[in-house]
Amino acid sequence: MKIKSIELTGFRGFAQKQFFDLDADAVIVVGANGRGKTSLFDGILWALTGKISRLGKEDAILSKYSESGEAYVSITMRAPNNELYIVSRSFDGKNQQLRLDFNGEVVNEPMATIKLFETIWPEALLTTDGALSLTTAITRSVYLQQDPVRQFIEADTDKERFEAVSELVGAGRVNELQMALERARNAWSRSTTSVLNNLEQGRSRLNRLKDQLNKLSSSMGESEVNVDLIWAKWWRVSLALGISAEQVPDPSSPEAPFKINGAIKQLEALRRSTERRRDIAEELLSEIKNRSSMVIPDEKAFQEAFDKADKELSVVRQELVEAESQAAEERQRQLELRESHEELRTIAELAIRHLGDVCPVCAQEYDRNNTHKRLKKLIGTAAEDKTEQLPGHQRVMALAAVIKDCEKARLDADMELQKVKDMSEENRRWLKNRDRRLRELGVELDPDTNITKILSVLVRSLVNKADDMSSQQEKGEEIALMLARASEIARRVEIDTEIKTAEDYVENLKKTLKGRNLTGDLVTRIIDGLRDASYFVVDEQLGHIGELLQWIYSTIDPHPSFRTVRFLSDFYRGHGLLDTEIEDSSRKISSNAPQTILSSSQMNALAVSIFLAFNLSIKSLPIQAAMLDDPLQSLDDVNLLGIIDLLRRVREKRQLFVSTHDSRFGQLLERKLRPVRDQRTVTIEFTGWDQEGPTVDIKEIEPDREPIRISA
Amino acid sequence: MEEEFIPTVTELLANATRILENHGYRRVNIDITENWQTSNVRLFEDDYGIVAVVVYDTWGDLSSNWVDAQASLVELLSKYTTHYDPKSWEGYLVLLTPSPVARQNSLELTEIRYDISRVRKLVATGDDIKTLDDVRQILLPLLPLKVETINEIGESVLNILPELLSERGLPRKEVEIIIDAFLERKPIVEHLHKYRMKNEDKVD
Repeated sequence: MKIKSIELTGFRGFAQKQFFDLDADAVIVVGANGRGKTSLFDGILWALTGKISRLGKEDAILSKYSESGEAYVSITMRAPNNELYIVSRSFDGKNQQLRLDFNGEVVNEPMATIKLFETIWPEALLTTDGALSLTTAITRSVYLQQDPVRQFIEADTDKERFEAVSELVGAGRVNELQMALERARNAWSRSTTSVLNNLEQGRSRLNRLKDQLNKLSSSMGESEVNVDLIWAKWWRVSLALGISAEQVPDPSSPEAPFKINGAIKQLEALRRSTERRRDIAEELLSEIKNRSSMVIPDEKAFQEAFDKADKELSVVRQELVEAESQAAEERQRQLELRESHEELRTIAELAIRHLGDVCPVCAQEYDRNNTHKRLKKLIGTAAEDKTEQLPGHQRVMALAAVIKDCEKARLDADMELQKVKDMSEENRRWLKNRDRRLRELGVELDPDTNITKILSVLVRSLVNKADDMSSQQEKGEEIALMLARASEIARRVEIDTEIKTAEDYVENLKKTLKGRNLTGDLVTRIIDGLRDASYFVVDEQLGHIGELLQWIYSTIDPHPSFRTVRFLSDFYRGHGLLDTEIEDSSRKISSNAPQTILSSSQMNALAVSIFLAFNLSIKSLPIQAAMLDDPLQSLDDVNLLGIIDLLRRVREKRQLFVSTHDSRFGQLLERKLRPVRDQRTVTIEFTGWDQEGPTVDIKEIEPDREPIRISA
Repeated sequence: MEEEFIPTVTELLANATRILENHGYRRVNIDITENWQTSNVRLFEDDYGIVAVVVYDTWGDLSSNWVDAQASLVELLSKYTTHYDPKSWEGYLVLLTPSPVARQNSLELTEIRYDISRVRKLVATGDDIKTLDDVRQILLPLLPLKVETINEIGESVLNILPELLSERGLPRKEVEIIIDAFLERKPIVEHLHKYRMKNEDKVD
């Protein structure tokens, strides 16, 4: 990428718009100090980076005489394939705007900066401050500024020098690779841990399967029996015994254990049913035998006896009613008599108390003794009335005793009658029950049937059937056991297969894990290697740059004895360090502080040498140019000639921009950098400056079309 | 004890001729013996300048005669160029001698080197010329720059890593695999692992 032209407005010394055709192999800028030479170079730097660090404040680039108050720089660059790239940057005092026109494709912020980095300095994308990275790359290797010309040697520390070179030679990619690898290794480790977990699970499963196999193996001591031989026979017998089955399964089928289990349950139910019928038959047979001697009395006779006793009781009760009526009458009469006697006794007792010579009532004389006797007798009669038993009452008492006897007789007859009735009822119920049970047992009730005989036969039959079922159940259980064992054998085979699969799985995982761990270990070693590699990359690149540096330094040949120069790099506590060493090879004297040995002129020559060594060594410069702002200051004549001769050679490799404040030097540059054949050299002379900007005289140096004079 | 190499005048002249011709200079084939008063001189020309290489047997000869050689070169430039011809300012005088310079004469040597009054002088003595290759070192200011640009930024910096890391005991091919995956934005470790497994299978 070479610079074709530049347009500046409001930028530093250029208040008004100025356009410069820079489409040349060499551009010589001549002018006294303060007329805009450096501003022109700064314009290129600022358009590309937006920064001019040495100026400090950002607004320092703004011309004090800018009419719009805005700085604007646009540079047009040409790629090797002749595509044009226009980079335009403006600044309004607060904000910058970048606009790219890349071969017709216009890109504005925020993508413009990224696009610019991608195009001219991809390394900037790897750093936290891309603009600073680009600025450093340009100021270290493209634009040798006037003031910091010797900064690399004198002002920078050995660490700063190393870091600056690291960026130039692209060691940042090594760091990026290292970080990417660290991220990838972390992800790999997590994934490996997952494999390890799978391995642990696989081992655990394998152990469980082996345990299962051991248990199965320990229970497999008995010899294996061929179930097929007895399977069909058992089902035939079972079906004959009454179980139901839609289809007899194959003994090797998975449902065989369930089918025979169901069949055995059916047999159990049938056996229980048969035993229950057998018990019923046996009980019934026993009852029938027991009842065979039982006589049921005639109920009628007992009824008649009861009726008779009941009638007799009724008669006596009637008599008692009559006797009680009679006794009541007698008792009434006796009561009336007893009341009369009592009244007479009261009178008699009163009369006795008042018995005198004459009657107190009628005053007649009377026989007192007789009277007293009679009165006493009256009193005595009353007393005798109390103990007298009347005949009616006696008869009632007699009848009551008879009734009691009759009632007992009736009760006894009733009890006998009820007993007989109960017996008859119980017998009827038993017969009914017997008939029901017989029907349940399937015995036909026929008057001619000998129930006892039939039941006896039935009982024997049921006993035999129940025994057969019990036996069949036992055989079924044995077969079920055989099936289970056969299933266990199959399961053992199955587990054997699963163990083999699990062992293969575990082995594969172990192999995978081992491989992954080895890969992870290797990645870790490579990461460790990469940590140091930045230094070694820089060191390696410095080796190449150092060769060119020596060439350039020898070309200028600034010092009569210290004619060797080299870079000294070191790696200390994770940081690269870089010094520049000069040496007097003939006397083996060296110094990594050239400023203590070289004169100011020689130091400038060394600084230019280092700058050009970087410029020419690095193929992927942001722009394929070398810009040297007044590098000829403080140079003695021989060094000045040496540098100018060198610049002529640089012009063959890079688009060269060189400025000088001295018009004589300018003329020397014009001669030395004169174009030959198809080359183009332009001289921009700043002849004056006013508030609008510099006055410019642009001159194109006539090319030497036939440069060979003598040997042609 | 190793014997010190002292090149002859002929060797120096032949070597200087070869070097300059190999770097684009044309030898000027004109009869100059008379003017230069020595046969140990060669003239060369390229697009930019005219170079005279003069070899003296001794430092004394050089010290005594270099001014004449310069005058002869200036005369030659005047003959073939005009005053306004920029090339008239492009004369280079290379003064060589295989003999060393005595310490007391080193100042004179520096003065000759720093004297740019008429043409630029490149001066070397036996102190500078220990081998024939040292002649090239003397002529460097006249030669085109031999620029071997270092590898491209980025990818090619990574390209030197396999060699660099293999020198430190890391497997070269595996490092290359990692870098390829990184550049192609493929899963790096998976890529390496795949290669390792494949390679392991081959070993098995």
